[in-house]
Formats: sequence, C-alpha cells, structure tokens
Amino acid sequence: MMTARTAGFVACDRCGLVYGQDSAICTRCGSVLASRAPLSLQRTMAWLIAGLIAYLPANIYPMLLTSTLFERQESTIVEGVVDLVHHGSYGVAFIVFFASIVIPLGKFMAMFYLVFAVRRHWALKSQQRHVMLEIVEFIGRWSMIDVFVVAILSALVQLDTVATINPGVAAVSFALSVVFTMLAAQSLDPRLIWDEAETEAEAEARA
Amino acid sequence: MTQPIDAAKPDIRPARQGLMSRISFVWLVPVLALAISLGVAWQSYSDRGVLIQIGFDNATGIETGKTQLRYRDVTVGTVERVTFSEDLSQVLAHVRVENDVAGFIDSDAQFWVVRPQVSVRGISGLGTVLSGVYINGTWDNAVSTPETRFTGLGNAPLVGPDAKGTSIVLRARNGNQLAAGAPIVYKGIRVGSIEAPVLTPTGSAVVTNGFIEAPYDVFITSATRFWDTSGFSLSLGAGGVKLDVDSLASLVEGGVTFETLVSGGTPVDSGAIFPIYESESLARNSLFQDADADLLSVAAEFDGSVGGLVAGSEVRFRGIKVGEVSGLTMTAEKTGTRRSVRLLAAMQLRPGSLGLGLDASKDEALILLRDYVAQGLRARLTSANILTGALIVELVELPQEPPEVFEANAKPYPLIPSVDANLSDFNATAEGVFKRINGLKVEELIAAATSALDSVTVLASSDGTKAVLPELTKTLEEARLVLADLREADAGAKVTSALSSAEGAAKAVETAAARLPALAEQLERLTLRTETVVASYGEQSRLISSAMDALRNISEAADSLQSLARAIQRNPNSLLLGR
Repeated sequence: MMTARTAGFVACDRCGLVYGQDSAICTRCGSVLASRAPLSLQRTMAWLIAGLIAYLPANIYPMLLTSTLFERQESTIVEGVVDLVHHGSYGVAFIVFFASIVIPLGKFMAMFYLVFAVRRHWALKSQQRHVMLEIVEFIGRWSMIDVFVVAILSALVQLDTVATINPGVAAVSFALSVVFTMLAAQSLDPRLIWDEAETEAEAEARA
Repeated sequence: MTQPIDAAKPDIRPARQGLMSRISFVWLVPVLALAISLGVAWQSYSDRGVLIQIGFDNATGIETGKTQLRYRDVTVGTVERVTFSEDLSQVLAHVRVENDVAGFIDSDAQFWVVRPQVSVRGISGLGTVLSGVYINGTWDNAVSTPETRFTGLGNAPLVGPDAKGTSIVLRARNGNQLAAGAPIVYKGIRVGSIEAPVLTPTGSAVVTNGFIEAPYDVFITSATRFWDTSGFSLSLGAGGVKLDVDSLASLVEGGVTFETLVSGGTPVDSGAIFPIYESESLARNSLFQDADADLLSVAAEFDGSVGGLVAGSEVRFRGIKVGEVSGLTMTAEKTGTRRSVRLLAAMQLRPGSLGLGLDASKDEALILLRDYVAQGLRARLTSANILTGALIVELVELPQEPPEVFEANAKPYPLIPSVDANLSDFNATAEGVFKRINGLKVEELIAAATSALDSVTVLASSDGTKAVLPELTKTLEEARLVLADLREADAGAKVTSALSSAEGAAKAVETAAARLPALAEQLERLTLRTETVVASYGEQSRLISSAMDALRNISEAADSLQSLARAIQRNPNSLLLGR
C-alpha cells in the first residue's frame, strides 16, 4: 500500500497541489504544508478537556429559569428530563435525554478513545475508527438541540409576570461544550488513524 | 522507492524549533475554561451565604428549596433543608441567608411563618394562599455577633426589634376580652397594640405585652392608667346612665385605652407594668386608691342609712369634685346603755383640688381642713341622682352649726364632723312637688269647665237665642225687598252704563300699558350701555360708584315698570279697582 507519505509527497490541504516532503509552504496558495496536521492529537485533547470542563457546569447549573405567576423554577438538564417523564412526554424526554446526555457523553468517550488509540497504537480496525470519527463529527451538531430549545423558548415565552423563561448558566456552558467537542473532532487528523493501520500492516508484513 | 511523478517545486524552510512548536496553543482553551470554571465555582461557593437554623413547632407549608426567607418583603434566603432537632422537639428549617444581610442576624432576630390569616382587622398574607408560605424575619440594622440557631415564633411579633416606642406589660384580671393585636387607643387614635395574653405562672392574672409607638409613648407616665374598652359598657351611676361603645373592632377583639389622669407622673422605661382596669371609672378610682398617690385620707361618720353611697362615690366641695369615697365601714358604739351603729365613710381627697395648688402636701391640706371645720365645714350626704338614688358626700359650710373640732389624729383617718343627711331636703322637695300637684284644684277646674259648657248649652237652648233667628231672617227678607226695588227703578241700567264707561277707561289704560314694556326695555338698554361706559372708566372713583347706584335705581325702576305693565296686561281693571 502506498500513501503520499510513503511516496515522499505532501499535498496542500487547501488547493490540493502535491509537493515533495521537504516543502513547507504551498507556492500556489500560500498555506502551510504538512503531511499530517501538526500537533493534531494535542489540539484534540485540549479541545476535549475544554469541552469536558464546560460540560460540568452545564449539568450542575440550571438550564431553564421558568417563572410563572406563582413560582419560580430552575431546572437542570436532568431535572428537565425527569419533569418531562413525569408529565408523560416520553418521546420528548427521550430526545432531550439522548441529545443532551447520551450524545455528549458518547462523543467524549469516542474522542478520548480515538486520541488514546492513535497515541498508544491500540489495535482496532482502522475502518471502525474512521467511521467512529465520522459519526462523531456528524452527530456533534445535533447536540445543540437542547440549546436551540432553550433559545427558542426564552425568545417566545416572555409574558412578564404570567410566565417567563430565561436561559440559565447551563445553556451557555452546554453550547460551549458542544462547540469545543466539535472543534476537537475537527482537529483530529483522520490520516493518523490510517497511519496506525499502515504501521500495523507493515509489522504484520514483516512478521 | 522511486518518484514516479514530478512533484511541485519545493519551498524549503527550516523547521520551527522551541517549546511553542511542541505544544499547541489550543491548550489555552481548556486552561482558560478551567480557570473560569474554578473562578465561578469559588465565587458561588463564597457567595452562597450563611446557613442558619430556625426551629419551628411544625413545618406546615415549608418546602425545601422553595420557601423563602424575607426581610421587609425582600427575599434574602431560601430554605435548603428541613430536619428535626436532636430531640425531635422541633423542626429545623435550614435557611441559606445572603451574605450581605447575614451579619445583621444576631440574637435579637425574630422569625415567623407567614400564613393567610383572617381576623377582625382584615385578611393578611392572602398572597401566601397561592405562592405558599414564607418565613418572615426581622432584625435591627446594627451589625453584631451573628448567630445561626434561632427559635421561630408562633405568631408575628407585635413589633420588630427596630421599631421605636416603648413596650409595656399589661396585667388584667382575665384575658377573655383581649386578643392578640388588639389596639391600644389614645383619644381615639391607635397608638399601639397588644400581643396575645398569657397567664402568669401562678395563674392569678393575665399579662400581655403592649407596645406604644414612638411619638406617642411620651404620653405614658407612671400616672397613666389603662382600661379595657372591649365591647360596650353600661353604667348607672351618679351621673346617670352611661353607655360606652368603642369602635366595632374593639367590640370584637378587645382594646385598651389609657389616660394620664393626673400630672406629675415620671416617664416609664420599657417593660413597665400597668394594670388594665375593667372600666374607665375603675381606672379613675384607682388613682384615689393608690397608696403612693399623694392623696389625703379622711373620714366622716354618718347616721342613718347610707344606701346609695358606694366606694367611688364623689366627694364634692362647693360642687367641685375633690375626692372620692374609698370605703365604707360600720362601727358599733355604745353610748351609755344604748347601742348604736355609725357608718364611717373613708374618703380620699386630692389636696390639689382643695385650692392649695398642684403640689400641695397632705399636711397643708390637713391644716386647711382644720381651719375650714372651725369655720363650720361639715360632711353631708346629698342625693346625686333622683332616679338612681345615688348619694355623694358633700362638704358644706354651715357657719350657724355649733362649733366642732377637726379630729386630725382620729383613727383610722382624720375625722370631718358630719351633719345630718340633706336627704330630707330632697324628700321635702319631692313632697312639695307632689303637694303642689295635689294642690292643683283639678276637680274644681273640671267642674268649672263643665259648668261653662253647661252655660253654653243653656244659652243655646234659651228662648232669647231662639228669638234672634227669626229676626235675622226678617232682616234678610227686607234687604231682598230693597234690592228688588232698586231693580225696578232701572238702577241696574245705570249701573251697567257706569260699568261700561269704566271698561273704556280700562281699555285706554291697557293700550298705554302695552307701551310700557317697550319703555322698560329702553330703560334697561340705556342702563346697560351706561354701565359698560362706566365700567370702562374703572370702578374706583366715587363718582362712578354713585353713578352705579343711580343706574341700579333706574334698572329697579325699569323692573317695577315691567311688572306693573305685566299686571295691567293681565288684569286691566286692577288700575280701577285697586287690586
């Protein structure tokens, strides 16, 4: 199997022009050339940790501040789900639970796994890893569904004393968390996954 | 490995070296996020306030995380937990209080749960029906050693610790007319209120805390007397029937009022104890019974019945109240072989009322009384009220009485000599009235009237009266005859012609009168014009004012003319006939 790297080439990420391996800057479009995204794993880790830090307050602090005529309620994400279940809205509860808890947590685990796998040369089918990364990248934006709900509700329900919904601290930190994890998924250079496969294949070939 | 394809011309640069190239700048993001998170966490930890515990008998309506602690209706905390005290005797509400007020919550802070309440004075805490109860707190605005453990009150306290005024303790014989929050009224103005009455430890009386608000507490002195104004009181005394009804609220929930009855009281400190008398008269009497009040006790002995004289009856000197009867005792005496009973009326006189000035001492009063007695001063029972038969003691001057001595050293009190009750006077008066009524010659009067009527009857039925009537008839007949003669002599035609000429005259007058309104109108117009002219000159000058007077006369003349014209038009004959 031949890759651009083994062939001693490096392609410009922006305009696709192919250079020799020693080239540093694309002469056509001026972008920096690199066979693999520099410090990709580090950046991914950094974004991931930032996302994780933002995810904690997102679950501790209230997401929605609901003020009705008689009472004022603050509900975190989990409380919101529980409330929805109590009110019998199982479908909505499931969607919120899935989008706000399952997906973010799954994303964290998947990304951490990928980073460690690449770094520690853990064995897994590269194909699977790549699919995993693609899923993470695809699904990342759907995590924002909770933030959208909060944004729309707080824009719509502003009836002064009768009922008012305001976003809580958690809404901001949850949005940040999603943004950070999306950036993390983007910073991970998928070619690193295949590099592993390659070395494995070479090792197998040698053996 | 070969290079099968021509690569683009390389642009070779030395690889970047150093720490920055080894560590991604993206690491700044998690570091920043961590710093912010920690900062927020620290801030919310340090801002989360102080946890205090308030013990209540029960936790009715208190909800974890919802029930608020309010101070002056501003939320300053929230109930975090509700637990039991160690011995299960109380429910502890753990309240997280905001930092900026926590410093003020010291030992004098008071807490109570606000629930909807319906009382005579209105409905309070209605908002809590929907929003749930809240804990109200009150404390003064001085920072001192904060405390964390409090005992909640069962009811809202009468006053907050920062209220200005004087708190007093009121003692009453029973509390069934006093309700918590009942007003303390002074001259009809609510100046304070009382708390729920409680029994004294011995159970002999009821005490309640009262609070007099700030500007009014100066009216409370050691000479102040409180009395109950609950409901209404009906009294039948020397002054007649007296009905007292205070405000409707005090009728239902009770009320206390006070009056400083004598001057010279000293200001009281907080916590002073005052008794609540059952009525105003008792409160007033109490002044005369007070040992410490500067009152002069004297006594007088009376013969005969003193029915109608009671403790509290007035002692009057020349019609002015100078004291009150404080008690009646009976002493059996033995003069020779004859036993007799004398009644001793103890009286308390206010030296100030005897004309000695406000700060007169008892000794001065005694000397005065001695001199008076030498001049003939005597105590005498007098009827005060015919209806009720109430008696009062009157100090009268009877110089013609045989001289007696004022026994200043008599026991138990200095003795004022007495004279026989003046009741006979009254009796005599009443008797006189009855005598006069008796003396009225009603029967004779009736007899006279009857005889007068009889005479009328006699007159009517007498022959003379009867004779008058035919004569009258005769006269009328004659008059008729005269008239007939007149008619026959064509007097009628003459009269008619006279009348017709008169009518012609009246017509002439009428046409003249028709012009009268026009004249009047003209006059009026003239008046108006002149008035405007005059007004334009201003109203100051004398000339003008006299001109105005003239104008007014003219316009009055015009008015009379007009009314004359109207009268003539309506009835032209009035000119002739003068009606």
